[in-house]
Amino acid sequence: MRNIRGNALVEFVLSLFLFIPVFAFGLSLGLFFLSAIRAQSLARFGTCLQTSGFFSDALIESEVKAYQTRLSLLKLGKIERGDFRDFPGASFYDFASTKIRLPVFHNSSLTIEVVSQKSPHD
Amino acid sequence: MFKRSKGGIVIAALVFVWCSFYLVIFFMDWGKLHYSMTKMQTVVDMALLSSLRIRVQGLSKIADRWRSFGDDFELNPEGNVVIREPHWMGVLERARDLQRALPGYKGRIKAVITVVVKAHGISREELLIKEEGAFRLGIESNPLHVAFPDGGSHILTGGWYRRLWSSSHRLAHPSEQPTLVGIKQIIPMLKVRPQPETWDVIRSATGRLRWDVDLGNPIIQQRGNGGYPRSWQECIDGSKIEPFRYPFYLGEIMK
Repeated sequence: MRNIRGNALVEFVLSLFLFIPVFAFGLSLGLFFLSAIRAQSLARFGTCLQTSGFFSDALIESEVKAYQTRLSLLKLGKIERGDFRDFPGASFYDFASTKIRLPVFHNSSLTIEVVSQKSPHD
Repeated sequence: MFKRSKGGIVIAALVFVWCSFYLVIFFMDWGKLHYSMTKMQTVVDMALLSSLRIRVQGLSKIADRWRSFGDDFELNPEGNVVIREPHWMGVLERARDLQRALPGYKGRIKAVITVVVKAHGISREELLIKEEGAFRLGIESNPLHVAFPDGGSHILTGGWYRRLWSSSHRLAHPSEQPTLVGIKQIIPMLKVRPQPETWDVIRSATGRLRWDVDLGNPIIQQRGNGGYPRSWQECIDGSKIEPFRYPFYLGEIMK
């Protein structure tokens, strides 16, 4: 009887090793999508400030950093802001964009970019 | 009894792994769906905002370009428009250029939507335009009878511009109807589940243009005309010709 109880416990402990990767995968995936959603909102925020034409570069930079700090789960790569011209048809307009690279694996990343026309007030 | 308890752990573990697997699949689909919805909303908002800004730019630019030749117009005591500019051909050329450029200003308002949507990796086929209220530039050119100081006269095509919105209200905002743009995407789900394998998601945005002035200001109330005149009489301000009074506009996304 003791032997059989021992087998059941061993099976349970062994099966836990199966669950751990499943849970870890699910958790990391959830965190990734959460980060992607937050990066999207950060890029949108940066683009809206940049294209409004009302704020200085320094103020936009500090506001974007403050917003990024509030999104505590976010582990981001470089945030790039600037004009957006390298796209067919974009040269006819006055676009600006905010680009964020979200690390996925060791060497790969998801690029999130939000583009908008600059306000004529600029 | 011992055999049952031994097998029970294994079966329970298998069921748990099976459930966990589907939970992870659901989690992936849920995350992907919410990310797609957030992205679609951002894209549709940015596309509409860009379109409204192009219209604002167009309306301001047309007023500026008109002034480059219209400031040389004067009213004589008989109420006729007289050209102060000694180089009549220059006025004619600038008026003609502006009139020719009008379709370009109109076309860019809608065309920018497609460019912005494509720049975000979304195809044109997924774009839905439901209401085109603010896509119209909302102005038209009109001929102007111009007299020369030496007695001659000429009909100048594109001599002045009038607005087509709110003909009954002098202090009117440009958009009588808002613009409604949407994106419809079919989000593929992981195929291990029986149904559904795709989710249809639509995200839309509504926007309008506002005349960006302080309507409580007495000067605006007295002189303002929504930025553009409704008629030729509204272009005349005492002895001056001034059709465009405060042509400042603001595009806004409505929630």
